[in-house]
Amino acid sequence: MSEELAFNPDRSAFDFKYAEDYAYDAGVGLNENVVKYISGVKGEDPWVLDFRLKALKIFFEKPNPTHWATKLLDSIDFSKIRYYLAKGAQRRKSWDEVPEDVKKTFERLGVPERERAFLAGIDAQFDSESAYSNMEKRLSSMGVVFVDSSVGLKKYPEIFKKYFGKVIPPSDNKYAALNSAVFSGGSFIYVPKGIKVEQPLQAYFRINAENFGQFERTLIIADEGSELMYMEGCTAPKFETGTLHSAVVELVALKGAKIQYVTVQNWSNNVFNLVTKRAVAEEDAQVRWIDCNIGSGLTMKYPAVMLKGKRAKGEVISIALANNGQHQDTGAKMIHLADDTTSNIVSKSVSVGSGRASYRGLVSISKNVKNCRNNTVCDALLINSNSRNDTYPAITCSGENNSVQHEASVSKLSEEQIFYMRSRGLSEAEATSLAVNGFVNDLVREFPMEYSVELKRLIELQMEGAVG
Amino acid sequence: MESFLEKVAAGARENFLKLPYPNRKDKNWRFADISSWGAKSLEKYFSDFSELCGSAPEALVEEGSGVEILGASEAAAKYPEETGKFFSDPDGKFEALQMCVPESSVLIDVPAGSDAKISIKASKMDSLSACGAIVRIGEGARVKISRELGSGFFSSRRFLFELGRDSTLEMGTFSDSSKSAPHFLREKFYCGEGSSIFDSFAENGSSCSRSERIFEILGERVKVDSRSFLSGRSNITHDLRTFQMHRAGNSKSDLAVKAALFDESSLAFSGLVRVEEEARKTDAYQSCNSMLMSSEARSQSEPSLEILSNDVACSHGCAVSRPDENQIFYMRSRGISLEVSRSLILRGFAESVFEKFSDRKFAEKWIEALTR
Repeated sequence: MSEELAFNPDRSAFDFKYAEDYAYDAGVGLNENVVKYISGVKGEDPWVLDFRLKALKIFFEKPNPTHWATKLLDSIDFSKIRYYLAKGAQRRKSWDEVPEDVKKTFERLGVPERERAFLAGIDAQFDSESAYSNMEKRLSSMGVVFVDSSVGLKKYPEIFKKYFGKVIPPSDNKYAALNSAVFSGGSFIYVPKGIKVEQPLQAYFRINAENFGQFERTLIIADEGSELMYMEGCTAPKFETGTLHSAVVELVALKGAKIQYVTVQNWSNNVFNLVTKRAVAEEDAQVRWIDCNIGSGLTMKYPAVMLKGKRAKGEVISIALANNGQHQDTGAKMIHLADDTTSNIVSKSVSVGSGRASYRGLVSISKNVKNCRNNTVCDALLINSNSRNDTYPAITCSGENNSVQHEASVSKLSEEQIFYMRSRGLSEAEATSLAVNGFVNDLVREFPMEYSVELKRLIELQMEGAVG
Repeated sequence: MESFLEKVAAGARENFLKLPYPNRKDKNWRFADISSWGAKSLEKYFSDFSELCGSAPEALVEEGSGVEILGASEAAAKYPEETGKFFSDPDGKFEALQMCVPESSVLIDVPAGSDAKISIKASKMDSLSACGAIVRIGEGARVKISRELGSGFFSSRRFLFELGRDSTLEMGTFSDSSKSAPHFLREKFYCGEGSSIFDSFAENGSSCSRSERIFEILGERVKVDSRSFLSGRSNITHDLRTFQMHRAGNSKSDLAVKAALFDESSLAFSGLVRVEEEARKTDAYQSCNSMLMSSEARSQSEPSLEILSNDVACSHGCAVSRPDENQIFYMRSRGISLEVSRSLILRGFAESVFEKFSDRKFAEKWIEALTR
């Protein structure tokens, strides 16, 4: 007779399964019919289709912003992109097609087998239904709404319509217009007054091909006095055959609310990652963007906070790592529109091999406000002789008793530090890796623990081959 | 047969008419007060150039032998390379404007190994004016220049400095203007191996100014120490663009900009530090500090870094605030009036710009004018 375990936990809460479903495929290329198809599949109300079509018009009218950004943007062929693909329609790949560095990363990060299959595109769908439903019950009991963008607009228009497309209107830039025309997936979240969501909300809970797709739209509304943390992305590389990821994230923090938004991005190197993220902070509200960019061939992302209410606070913590063939063009924007507002930007970037990291920032304090403060620190590390770093901050300050401080530095690793570690038996690669981890350590600690542990491993992996 | 200068003038006029007026979409004019530089205010004067007055700057050798001062024609004959470089490919409309009257340029040649002290003066004129100068500093020469640039209506000025190996240039500049007299300045410093520049630049005046200052570090062991102070009044904008271009290694550049902004004046500063891949062991620093003397004043800064070499130490800093209240309180509690307290703080803020300039007579005069 076999012994029974004295402790027998219910594991069904974390069972994952694969589902089969019908395919929805809008085909390649972009025109009104594609937009209508997407809207039709989702069963959207007429006002949403109208919003999409207006955005499409704006998208066609606006030029690529290559006059200030990289000319690489001109290589995006919008006619060859598939703008909507869902529910099992994705072509299944074989393991042979997955690049070696992607497989190696999974191994080093200890990514579970089933997750590897999804992330590598071997499996089309990865639905953590049980885990999500348990969480959903807990949130519902608090009055928290955490749904997909389509469900949010359909079932809760009275909550989301007021702010949808207002923080980032389609006319904001070409890629916001594109997202507004073809968005699908993403998270719509509403947290009622006074509710503090203790457990971080994660996009992971609702992974499927659509949510990890190219044009997610996220809208988070934190009502007065509420608090939440939202996490998206993962340190494991997302191997993607699609070339463009253009998401829009809108955050609204009402009076006294706090939102922390954590992103770790590690798209494969063939992806253009062009994201518009902006938050509005009302009186006494706080918004914190914690952003890590490790993947993609080109990332252009500048999380912003509009400090609209008195004593609002905005913060951006940003880590960017650019390896061979990558350009991380990231930064932050802080717009002070009320008295006594404060903002803080801390950015650290590491350029390895031929990688290029650029910081682009905007701090604006108008003459109509007073007692505002901003502090910005940008530090960059260049590992190899062909690495590159740029810093382009734009600072405008006026008004009574407002002040801005900005500093930036670029250097290589300290030779003394490397010598010290090598004289203690570490190889050059190990010493470099430790030094880089030390450089970003105080920012990595700001990430939730599960991310920070994996981030450190990922940085070690990125440093291998950078030296010698 | 058309002379070299006639060809330059003809080409420049064609270019001037072809080149567009600056606009906000142009990254280089992003924060500028475009209305002062646009067609609306200036078009009627530029229809046939008849009102463009070219007047060469007055250059006086105060000390030093062997220094030559040549007019434009003589310079073109004796130093065709330098003159050709000076008059080639204008980078913008207002640079082309000065080239329209090439005879308004001089060439100052300081022979190798000599010590010289020179004063350069471009007076205020009540008409459209343009002037330029090429300064050749020979190998091992040490030159001190004091420059006074005035503007009475609208002026375009260009300077080119060629520093030979191991030469030293110490320069102090004071630019002043009447009201409603926008003035444009573009100057390039080509720094040969081992050369040094100690530069103090002050922009006073009640008119919009646009200054483009480019430091090309072409050789190793170059040191550039440049300090600028801009004082803004009424509703003018001082627009300062600087470039620290490191093309060779083992060199150092340190550029500091300070601005005191009164009334509704603005500073538009854009400073680029670019280090090429071969410029290893570069040490480059840039700072911009603005003191807002009124709640309507505005500071706009864009300090930029483009670093393509990893063996460097480059940094920049920018700060904007009003005068320190603690310092004002300290002085007031000792019986000093508010006005005098602010004036003392302003003087302390401005003095560091000229602390390395050896001609104390000029330095004191300029600090007094700036902090009045």
